[in-house]
Amino acid sequence: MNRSQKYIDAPINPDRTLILRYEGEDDQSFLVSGLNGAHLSAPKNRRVPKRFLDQPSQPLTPAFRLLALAFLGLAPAGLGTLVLAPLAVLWALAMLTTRSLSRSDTIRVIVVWGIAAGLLGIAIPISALLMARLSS
Amino acid sequence: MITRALFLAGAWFTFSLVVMLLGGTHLRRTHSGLSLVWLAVVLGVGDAWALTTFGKPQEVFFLTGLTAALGLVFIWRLRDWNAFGQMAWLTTIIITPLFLVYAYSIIISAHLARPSFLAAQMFLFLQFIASLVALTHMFENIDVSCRVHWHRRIDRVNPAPGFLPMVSLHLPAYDEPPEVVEETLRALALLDYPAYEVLVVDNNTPEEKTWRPIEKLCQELGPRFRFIHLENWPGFKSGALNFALTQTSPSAELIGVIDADYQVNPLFLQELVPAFTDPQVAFIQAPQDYRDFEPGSFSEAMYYSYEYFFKVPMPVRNERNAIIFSGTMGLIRKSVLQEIGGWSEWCVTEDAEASLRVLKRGYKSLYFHRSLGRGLMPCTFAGLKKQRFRWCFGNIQILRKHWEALMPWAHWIDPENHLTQAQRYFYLAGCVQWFSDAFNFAFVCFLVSGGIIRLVSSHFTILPITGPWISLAFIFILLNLWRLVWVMRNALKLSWGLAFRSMYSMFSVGWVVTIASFQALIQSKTAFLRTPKTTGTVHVLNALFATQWEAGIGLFCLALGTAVLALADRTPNSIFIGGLLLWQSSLYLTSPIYGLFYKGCT
Repeated sequence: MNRSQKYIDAPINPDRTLILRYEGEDDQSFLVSGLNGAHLSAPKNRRVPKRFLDQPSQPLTPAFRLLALAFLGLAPAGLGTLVLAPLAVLWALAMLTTRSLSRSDTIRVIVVWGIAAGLLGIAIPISALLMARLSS
Repeated sequence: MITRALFLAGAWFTFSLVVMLLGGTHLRRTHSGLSLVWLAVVLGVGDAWALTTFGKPQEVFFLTGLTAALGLVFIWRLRDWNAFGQMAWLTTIIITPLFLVYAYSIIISAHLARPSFLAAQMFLFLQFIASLVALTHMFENIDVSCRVHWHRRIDRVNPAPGFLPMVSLHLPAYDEPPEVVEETLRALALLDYPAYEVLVVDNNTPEEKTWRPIEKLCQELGPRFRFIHLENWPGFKSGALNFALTQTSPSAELIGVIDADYQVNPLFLQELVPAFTDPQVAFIQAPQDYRDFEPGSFSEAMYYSYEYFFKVPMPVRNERNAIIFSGTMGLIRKSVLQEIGGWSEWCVTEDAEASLRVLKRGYKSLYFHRSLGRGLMPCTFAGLKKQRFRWCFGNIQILRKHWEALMPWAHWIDPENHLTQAQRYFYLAGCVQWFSDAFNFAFVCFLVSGGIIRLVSSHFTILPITGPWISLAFIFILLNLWRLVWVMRNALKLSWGLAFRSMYSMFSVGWVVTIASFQALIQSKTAFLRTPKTTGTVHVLNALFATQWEAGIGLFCLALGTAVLALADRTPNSIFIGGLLLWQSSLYLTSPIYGLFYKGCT
């Protein structure tokens, strides 16, 4: 028997005082028990919240994480960016070639490439200056 | 060349900012002609100085031309600001990248050891990020002080006779002192509005003797008041509020959230409800205000540091329909709350998070400028730190969850995202600003390293600090402090002394915000830290214990700064590092001082 089946699917009596204990919930209702041991369900009467943009299943999430680290990688004279930004580009490329991506994810791939190019555009000259300094 | 450009931009910046700080709030008119004249004066003064001293004409004219062109864009884009604000912002935008380029050029040209070269680059990166955050603060400060035309500012909503929708007021309570809740409920009973109900939702209060008196009082106050006690309830405050939504009267159209310690004005609903005659308005927020401070005390300074948010960032954000719903003293349309799926239980600042989801759906928000109720500030400094921890943690949770919705490409990815450019900017800036204290701590780490190196060896350095670098850094720090005190004086109507003390009270919670911002980056959830509101006194040792880290860092900076000034070589480099260490010690030591004197200790 489904756990929620033992709960009375009716609005809780709008008494002046309610004393309720949480038993569980699903997308539609709270499942509670009252003082007299009755199992009741309280309809939530609201839309089930949509999972937001950064759902764990997003294929491009690792690429964006790499980009965030690549941005921080600008700190040591761009060296971190030189390593991490190409990895982000490659990850996005791999996703594009191995999976059938949605329109949103395809846009994300382009965004990853664009940001990576921008970061590399900053990192390459400053790390070149570092290399020149280290070799002098 | 870059040094000369920096000096020229520094002259424009210093001149325009000083004039803005002296007269920016007095000039209450906008006129493009006036702005053009002031642009010419600012540039002319700087150019005259440059041409008679260090400047090369070609360079001066080139930079002036570039700045003048940008100035024209600013005059057009910022046409609701007075001329002083426009030019101060323009010169800030010019000098910030110049300073960073200059700092980079001296790192490149100085003969630094390899580790120093790398450390200097990291310091510069930190400066770059800190400059961006500082610019967001500066924009808000100038906007609130130099804006002449406010398009969405409301101190009074136009009455709508006959428009009396049912309002359901939700009062979540967890282990709240019955005497505090009693005052709140009695104030709610006096509301001058015909159609409202009050749902008191007590969740997980362990002692029955704590919640039974509240239940009894609800019965005494009449049928408008209902009491719900929830046990073993998940989701902290949001969980309780989400359940309250299921028990709300079906006829209710608006939901209000009232914290357990808030005494509302009888006109609270009468004043705010008419805003909902516009079907696009999803929520309205009135300022949070407090009633328990003694004039002349530390708690008074803290009171004004709270008020800062509702007098500076909120009006600025309201102009762009980008405010946050800050929970208590706000009303939200029930259908919209149901449409977004209720309050998020994963977020410890569920109110601000909900407002982002509401605005994302294209609804309007409104900020009401007058206070319509007053609550209690945390009763101890430790409680205040807990509250600040929660706010910072919650905002960074929002950033981690919704970052992509705030990015420039968000509309391409999610066509249902109706956030405007300004809304995305202000939500992003509002979250990122919580990292300011973490950046300051990273700056302290560099200073400490620099100080130790100065004591050990005068030949080794982290950063090649030059004369222009020192003078500009000094000018930046001084003018930024002046600006903060200036905006507090003007927006909050404070005396110099009180504005200065309130500014320091903001610094006193810097360490807890630093901890929260780091923790929120690696941890996705935290317990909802309830802010204790019980009255009473704190033992001195407990107060000191609660601020041991701040005291430790402050004393270390004080000792190191003094040692650098006394023992290191007398170069400008050492004096600068020693001075900055002393300044930082004053920021961190504010915390134990507030811990002791905030509301008194025994």
